[in-house]
Amino acid sequence: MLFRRLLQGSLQSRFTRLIVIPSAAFLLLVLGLVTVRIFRSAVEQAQAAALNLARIHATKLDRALAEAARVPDMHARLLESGLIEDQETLHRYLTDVVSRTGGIYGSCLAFQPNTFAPEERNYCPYAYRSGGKTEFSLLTPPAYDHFLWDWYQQPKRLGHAMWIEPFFDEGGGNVLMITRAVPFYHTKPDGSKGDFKGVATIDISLDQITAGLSSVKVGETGYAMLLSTEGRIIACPDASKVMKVRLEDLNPVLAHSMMPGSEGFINTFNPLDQKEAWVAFAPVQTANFMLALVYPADEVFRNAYRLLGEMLIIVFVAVSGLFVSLWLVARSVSRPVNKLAAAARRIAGGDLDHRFNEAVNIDEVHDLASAFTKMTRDLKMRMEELRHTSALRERMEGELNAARRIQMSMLPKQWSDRADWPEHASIALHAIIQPAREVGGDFYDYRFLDPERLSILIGDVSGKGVPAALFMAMTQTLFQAHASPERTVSGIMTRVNDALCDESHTGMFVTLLYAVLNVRTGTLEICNAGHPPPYRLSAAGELDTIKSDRNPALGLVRNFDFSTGSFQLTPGDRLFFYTDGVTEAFNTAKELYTHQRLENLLVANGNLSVDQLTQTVIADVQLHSLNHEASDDLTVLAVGYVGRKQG
Amino acid sequence: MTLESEILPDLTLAKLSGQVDTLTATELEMKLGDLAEVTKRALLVDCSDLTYINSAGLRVFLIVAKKMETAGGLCAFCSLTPNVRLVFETIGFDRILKLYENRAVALEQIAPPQAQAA
Repeated sequence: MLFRRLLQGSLQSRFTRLIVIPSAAFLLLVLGLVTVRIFRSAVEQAQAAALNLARIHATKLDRALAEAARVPDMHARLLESGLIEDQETLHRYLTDVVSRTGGIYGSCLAFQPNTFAPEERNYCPYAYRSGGKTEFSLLTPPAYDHFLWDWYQQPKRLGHAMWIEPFFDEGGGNVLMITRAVPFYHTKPDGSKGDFKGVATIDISLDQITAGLSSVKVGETGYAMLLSTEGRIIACPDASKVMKVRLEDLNPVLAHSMMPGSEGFINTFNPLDQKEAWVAFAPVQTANFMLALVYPADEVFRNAYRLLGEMLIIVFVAVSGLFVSLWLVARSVSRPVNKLAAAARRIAGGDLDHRFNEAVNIDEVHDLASAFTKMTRDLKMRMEELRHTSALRERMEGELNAARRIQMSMLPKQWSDRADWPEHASIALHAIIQPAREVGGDFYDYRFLDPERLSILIGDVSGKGVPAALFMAMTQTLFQAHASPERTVSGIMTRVNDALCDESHTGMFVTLLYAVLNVRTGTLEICNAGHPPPYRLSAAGELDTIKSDRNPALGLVRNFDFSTGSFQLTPGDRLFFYTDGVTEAFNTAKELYTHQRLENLLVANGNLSVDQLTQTVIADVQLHSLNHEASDDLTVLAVGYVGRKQG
Repeated sequence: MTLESEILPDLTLAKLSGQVDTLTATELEMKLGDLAEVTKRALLVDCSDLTYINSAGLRVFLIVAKKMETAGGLCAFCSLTPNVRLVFETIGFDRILKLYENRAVALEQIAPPQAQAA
């Protein structure tokens, strides 16, 4: 049902529904899948790269710190060994180490009161870099009291080397620095470790570390951030945050994820601007710091976005290209088809001269168009043929109607119109003729040969239509020509027969009855040439057949001597003549009307007048052959012999 | 109306069945005319199954018979049913056409056995 509805509508909308929309949906699906893949792969790639970068820089930092850390260790071992005994040598050594060891800002040796330098409570020699040279100073109160500082107190208390949280070395290096502090001890004579003697340190300027980190390239707008053990920001591009803010205050989620010593790559916010970002982190083992590389999210996905954008453009171009080409195809089909439809409407409206002159490139439509053109041409030809044929037929019909009128006019007028005839009143006569086609082969005639003798003629030419009509006309004319008071019935028949035999090559013949009734005496002379004999219906209602000698139909046997029969009518007698079209009328069941039915009808209607009688018979025959095409002409003729009227 | 025919060397047998009225007479004229064309010597029309014929049909018989006679041949009819025979006689065709009681008599008269064997 749904599918059927999809197939409805114009070609163009069908293309859209069945091709463009599914194609677009498919492409969008593919695009969606590819997008997911691209983003996932972008994250993976970014993770791998970022983690790697984080590790590399953490390790680099680690190594630098580890290297620097060896310096105070060396100091401690040296002092514990007791090889350096005087202050002069110590000061030179310290200055020498600082000037020759790259990567450290300064180095300090802080002693317990009255240990290395007797009578000195605060003995703390310090060498540091300043303006490219190595300076040396002894840190003494009130400017600097090393006993108050964490870097001295914590190693002393805990008894091991450590990194001190970054601090501003007020009065010392006067820079933001981180310090490695290593405690050293007196050495007992047996070589074992004695009491705490002091702390050896090196300072690494935070600026130096920051400078190193700021040179680390993290994508394009990303940056590196270094966190202290306690989560304080040691280095980041925003100088205002350095040493003053803990990461926890900026991005607690990130701060909790970055467990000391762990690695990771997480999606969170950029702690500096709170935009979405990806952060890779790795530990700097030596100092227990954490290095974080922050990538803004849009940078991680920049390539993915670009690829996606390109793909979107490709998909859009592909779908719109598909749509446009399908639209063009649909139009190239539907436009000529629409024009064909319009042309068909015009032609249906009668404009047969309309020509379809559209150039069509599509083979199927082209075939349709040429078939259409051919159809129009043929239609026009047929129309003209038909017009011609109907004109011809109209003419033929007109001529046939004229022929029918002529034929009918050859028949005698109604008996009632013949009142001028002598002895008219002593006879009643009525005849009906009904041709099967426009013209027929049946005929009848009646005329007075002399004041007393009435000739009656009824005939049936074999066949029907125009040939029969012509033969009938000839026969009737021959009778009119040859009938004369002087001639006998037999003589007239012989002459007419001979004349018709001359035309026998047509195969035509005519069966007929020629009767001459003396209306005064009631004598009937009858000659039957192959025709059904007439009936006589007496006034008493008795029916009999008037049987005379049989003669062959006219036009068959030349020089035939026709014999006649003579009968005497009594007043009140009626004669009924007919052609075989009556008794041989078929009905739809191919049954004949039969003589029997005619005889029964005549007997039953014996008291009717002659015109009623003929009409009754015709009506009954028509009833019989209802719905069946009349195959033969019908003729009935009834004569009522009244007898001579007195007065 | 149906017309079955059998063409022998010197005799064509045609068996006419059914009704021949004015409408079917045209068809009969065509078929029987064609048969007369191909017949060399004699055409025998067997009317044993002919139930009805009228003057239009008889005209066809007349034309065919005349055509055969003109060509020096022979045309005969046999086994007429009483109805048909009555029509023949009424119109006088028994006088001008050769009619036989049945096929055997007709064959004996038209084509003697020895001729048939040949």
